[in-house]
Amino acid sequence: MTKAVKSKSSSEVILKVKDLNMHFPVTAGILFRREVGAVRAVNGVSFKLHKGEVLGLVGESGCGKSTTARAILQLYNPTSGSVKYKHGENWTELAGRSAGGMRPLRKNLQMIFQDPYASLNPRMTVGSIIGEPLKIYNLAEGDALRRRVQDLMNEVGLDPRFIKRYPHEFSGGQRQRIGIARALALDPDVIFCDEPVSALDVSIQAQIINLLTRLRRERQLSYVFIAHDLSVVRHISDRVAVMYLGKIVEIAREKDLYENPRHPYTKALLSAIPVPDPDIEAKRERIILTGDVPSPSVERKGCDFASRCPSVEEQCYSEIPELRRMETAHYAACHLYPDGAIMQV
Amino acid sequence: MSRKKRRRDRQQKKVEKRKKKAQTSSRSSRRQAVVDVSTPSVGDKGGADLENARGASKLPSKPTKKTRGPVILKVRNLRTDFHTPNGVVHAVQGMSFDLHKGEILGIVGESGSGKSVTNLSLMGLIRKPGVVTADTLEFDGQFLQNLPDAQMRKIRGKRIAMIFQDPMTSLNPFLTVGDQIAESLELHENMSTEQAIKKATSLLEDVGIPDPAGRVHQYPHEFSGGMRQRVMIAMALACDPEILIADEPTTALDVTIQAQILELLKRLRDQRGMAVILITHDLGVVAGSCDRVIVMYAGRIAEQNETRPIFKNPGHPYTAALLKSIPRIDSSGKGELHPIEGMPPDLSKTLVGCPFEPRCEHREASCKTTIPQLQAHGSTGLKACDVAWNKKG
Repeated sequence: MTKAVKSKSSSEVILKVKDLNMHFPVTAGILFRREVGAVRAVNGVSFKLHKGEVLGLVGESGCGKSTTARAILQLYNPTSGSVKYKHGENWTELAGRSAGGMRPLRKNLQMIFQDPYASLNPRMTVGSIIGEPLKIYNLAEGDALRRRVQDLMNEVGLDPRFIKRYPHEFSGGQRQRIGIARALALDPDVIFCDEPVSALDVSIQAQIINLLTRLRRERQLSYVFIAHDLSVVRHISDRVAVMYLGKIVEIAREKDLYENPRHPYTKALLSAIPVPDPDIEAKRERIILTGDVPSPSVERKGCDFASRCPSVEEQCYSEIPELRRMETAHYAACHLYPDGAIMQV
Repeated sequence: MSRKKRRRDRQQKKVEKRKKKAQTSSRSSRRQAVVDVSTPSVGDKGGADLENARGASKLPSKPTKKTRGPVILKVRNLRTDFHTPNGVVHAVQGMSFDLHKGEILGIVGESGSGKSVTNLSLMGLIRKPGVVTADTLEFDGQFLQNLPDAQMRKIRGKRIAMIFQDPMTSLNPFLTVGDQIAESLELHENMSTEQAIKKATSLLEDVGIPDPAGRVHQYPHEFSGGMRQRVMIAMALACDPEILIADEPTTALDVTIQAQILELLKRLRDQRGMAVILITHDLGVVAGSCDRVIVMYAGRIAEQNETRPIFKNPGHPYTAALLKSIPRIDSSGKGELHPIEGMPPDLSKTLVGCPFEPRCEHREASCKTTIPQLQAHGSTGLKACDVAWNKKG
């Protein structure tokens, strides 16, 4: 039956992100390239991740969820900000590290990608895909390598006999399992899951979510779980951060965020999600936002959500709201709540 | 129980008789088969025999719960096969359903279940190596199958319009949105360019695009995803169609924009009284928007019913399993999800039993060998399942 699988995450912080900015320059001119502006994909993101915790990162397309993950992992070079990772007993700064400088840390920080079709090399066998990280770090070779790969395949629910097969011989769900096995190969602490189930059908999606939940429990993994499907995020996460235009507008424990959202954007977002129950659907009040997300390349003096916000005030156009404390571990960035303490990382 | 069984036996006999009849009449002329709905000539391979199922169970032909408009589209035993080098893929295997005026009919199913192919077949948009056959494809008294291309073109886009999934790639980047909307008006309604652009402007206003007079002269790249989908809808609505087929109209969009578009579709349905076929894989969208639902699995109807009973009293184990497998936004349940183990079947193989049997938790020995026919479920529904797994049903 449904037994509680949500394990309590420890209070030990493993990753600290502070004021992370990722601005992509917009250039003009052919001979004399000059910067005429910047797309502010990530614009001052701060959060903490605890050991064994699942932090959901949600928001609409273009809000900077994936860019945040990639900037943390130094797959992009962040414009500014700090990313500190607790490596053993010491805090290590990741921001500004070169590819070579990141390499010893990549073992601990892995990623699972959205598209199980594009993220696996079609010319490599499953065995070599999953075994590659082990080879790069000289952790195993020959028979030992094959055994490690087979163990990993078993762990993620793939038949180890398929070790010689190629990715095209697998379905979408199975390919995502291959991607997960590859991420697990080096026994990481943190896995960034970038929309790991959005390319899958619902019946397969549930298989992968269950797998991720089990692995997390068995291996005490922390996930940063990026998805646009708020139902999936609620199911898997301990805490959830809502992003809008490159900023976190609200962050709270899953139950607080979904049952007592504070930021008008979170409220609208939650009300827009259809519930598979016609009776509830008939009764629900929907906050229909007008308009579209404004351009991320324009610098605004006030709140980014002001142009679409149903409870907008004059102050919202002139002052950028900061993440303030609503209740324990619940922060929202909105001028409607001016009293709480500002969030510290 | 025994009465039910007797009824089923009787039904089976009827089907067999028909099969014989069809064989002996050695391919009566196509036209005849088309007009005579009561003799489905290819009703053998588990073709969803809607008439038969309804007749046998003494169902009222129109459920009385909601006053629904007259039938505008009647589909019987629609089949679409793709002849590929690796064998024939039976993408749609005998779909039968009615679409009523003014209703939103949801078609749900996973990828590859045949939702989109069904509707492309209706629109006559299946090209080689695809082959579409049907006993009846009746739209407002006209038979669509075997209709010459020239006549089909007069219906397509004018009386039956379609919105596609991806608004980013379905618009021509070289033409202004006004030109693209005007195209069908000039073609179908013989409007002058000036008139057509004027109409296009008012259509853009109808679908909620601010500053329509200025926007009508802009190119698709100047619109956001949600706005482009609105343009697509405006285009589809240009000739005031009687049927609007929306193929995953919100899948590529964000949830807040999805809510806007679904609201718009419902409003337009109310204002214009058109029938909408809404293809989606999102059961939440179905619950909020549709009047009636068809659940498809492996190219067949697994179940069809009004929206509420689909969710409250599903007739097919597949529907029930789908509902159990999705996490819900309104519950903090951290329990394990109940995935449907296994994969959908290979559609190029000939079916010998229930297509869902290998994944079904209520399967019985007979499911492997008999293809379940559509049968009554509750007072309004039809299900393709022979097992009495649902006590309420």
